[in-house]
Amino acid sequence: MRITQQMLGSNITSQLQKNLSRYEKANEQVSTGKRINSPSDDPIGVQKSLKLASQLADNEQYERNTDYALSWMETTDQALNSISNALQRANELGLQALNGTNSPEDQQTIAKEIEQLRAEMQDIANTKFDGKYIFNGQGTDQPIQVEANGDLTYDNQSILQRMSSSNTIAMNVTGEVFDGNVNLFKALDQLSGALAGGEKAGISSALEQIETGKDQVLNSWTSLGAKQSRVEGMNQRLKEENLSLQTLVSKNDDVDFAEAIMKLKTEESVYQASLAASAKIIQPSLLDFLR
Amino acid sequence: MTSTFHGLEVGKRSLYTQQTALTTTGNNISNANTPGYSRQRVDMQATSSITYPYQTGSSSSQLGTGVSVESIDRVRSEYLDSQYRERNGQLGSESTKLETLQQIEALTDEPGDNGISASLDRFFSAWEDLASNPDSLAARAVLVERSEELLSQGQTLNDGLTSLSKSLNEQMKAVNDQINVLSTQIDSLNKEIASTPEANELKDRRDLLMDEMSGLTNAENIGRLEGLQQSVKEVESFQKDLNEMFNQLINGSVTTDVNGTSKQFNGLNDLMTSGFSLVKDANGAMKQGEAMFDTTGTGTTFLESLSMNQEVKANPATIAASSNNNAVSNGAIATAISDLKSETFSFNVADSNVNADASVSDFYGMLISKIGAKTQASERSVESHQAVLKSIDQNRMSVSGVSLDEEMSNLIQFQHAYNAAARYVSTTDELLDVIINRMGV
Repeated sequence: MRITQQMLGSNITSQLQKNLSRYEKANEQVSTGKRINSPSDDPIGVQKSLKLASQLADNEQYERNTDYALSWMETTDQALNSISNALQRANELGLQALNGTNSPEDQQTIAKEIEQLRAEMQDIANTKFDGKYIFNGQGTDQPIQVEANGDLTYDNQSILQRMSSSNTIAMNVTGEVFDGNVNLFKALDQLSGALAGGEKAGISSALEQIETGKDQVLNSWTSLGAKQSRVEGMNQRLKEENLSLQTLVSKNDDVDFAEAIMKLKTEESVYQASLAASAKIIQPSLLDFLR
Repeated sequence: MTSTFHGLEVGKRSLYTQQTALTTTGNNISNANTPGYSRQRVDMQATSSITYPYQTGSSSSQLGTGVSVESIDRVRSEYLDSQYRERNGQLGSESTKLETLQQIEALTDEPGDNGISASLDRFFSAWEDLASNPDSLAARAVLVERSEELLSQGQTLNDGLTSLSKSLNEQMKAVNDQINVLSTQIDSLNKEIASTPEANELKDRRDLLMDEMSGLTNAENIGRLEGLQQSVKEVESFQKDLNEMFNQLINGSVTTDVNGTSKQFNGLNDLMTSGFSLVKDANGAMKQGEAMFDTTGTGTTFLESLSMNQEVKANPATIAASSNNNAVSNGAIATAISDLKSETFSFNVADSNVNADASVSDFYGMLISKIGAKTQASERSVESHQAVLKSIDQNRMSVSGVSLDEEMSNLIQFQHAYNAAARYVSTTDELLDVIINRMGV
């Protein structure tokens, strides 16, 4: 082939251009740390990348949901503990009134304390978490209505939290815990009434009611504990899944730095070599040697 | 017999011819870097000889009469020219398409945290937050922001595509103008060449113009012009798909669970208005929710006609999360909307008769992946066209280009021939001097 100066020139420019653009690509990968910088870098990979990012967002969301559910249940747990303590105390006071030799004045004092416990119970029924009445079902903006006779008005619906796309949990305990088989307020009223009237039979039947009430609270509490541990487990699993998803994302999106830097270095030296060679080739022609 | 001055005539012809060759060499060197210039070669031919029987006995011989310039030709291969133009047309078309596809890619800003895909994730995440916290005003405020973000992402991309197709149409006009200018020039060159067929420079100029023309459009209608037409189609179909995605999300028919019962809805807005918001009426019952997006605007595309519902923007409490008009902590509607992320819509794909059944983000992922694959294919095709074009061009330059080394050696060769011819003239002069001045005196 006949080689002309023009050919050399155009060859050199196009080769330099090619080398420089490869150098630039290698540099982009190293400086962004990403293997895929535009969809055309890897059309299949980019879809996977979007999908993984979306899954990761879901997962983080579910993790937030379980965190929230755990805090909510923690508050409920404490409230149930308080109810249980109050009932325990009522039970002790009732037994004391039944067995001991108490003067009518003492009985009156005990009855007053029971009334205090009832007021405390009402406070517990209207426990708030994050500004919400936790025992009033889905009507969390309203407190539970406790009538003077102990009748309760409350919403009995579950508040559902999603822990995964297919897995929901009812995180709330409704007013039913106060008003299941036994209405705790009525039981306390009965006890304080019997104490004030000094009727032993009334006191012992009230104590039976309170005993059943304790079981009722305990049942709720146990099932709450079971739920808590389920949510806790889910939370752990989501955290682990998060980690493995992030690993997948990184595998799909990120460059292998050692490889990328090696490539950058290679491209750099190729570019420099082509510059040096071009500088040598361009200069001489026969002209330089004719005198 | 030859004329007395035959020798002088032979010498003169040689001087003229070598000088022409020297001048042509000079011209080649001068135009070594002129675009489109084909190197020229002097076609020297021995002039016809004369019968010369003298002193040769019976067999008469022929005596040479020197050299003359037959023609000055340009060295060029028409085959390579036609190859070059065909390839250049394909490259012009493909590289225009590539530019457009790369611009679409850049407009989408995928993959990354700033694209629509990430916006969609944040949008649905905000709904899930509301589902988990249905009575929260803060969650609603965030949701309004996320919706606005999603809308503005979609609209920015849509506007970008509109202005891209507008600029492509303008380019098309400019290319058409250029084609007209070029064909007028080629036409007038054709006329000039018809009257002077030997005009090498005019032919070079015409070839250069035709090379340029081949990049814009050629006989097979391939070239930049055709590339622009295809680009406009690409942009339009991507824009259609993008609008379809938002249209389905907001209005599209979807079957989803609310409170465990499967129901059919017409997209996000329908779901939102089917639920109950935090705003209460005089009886204390929760009022029906407002739609997030206002679709009643005017515009040539769906996204242009789309805007945020001002009521919702002003008061996020009007967003419905509850399926029960009496329960603020019911998140059934918000959950159902958050579920739309994975629900299947039936997308009407541009340029296709078959609908694509996919979730919103899968459909968008497919769009991005499709553009990526097209760009990649186009990149490869441009690269291969460039490589082939370059090798054709190299061949052309190999044939027609000026080699300075070659010209320099030619220069020396012609110079020596010129010097020798001059020497021959002075030798002939000396011979004549002997005959005219010294003989018989």
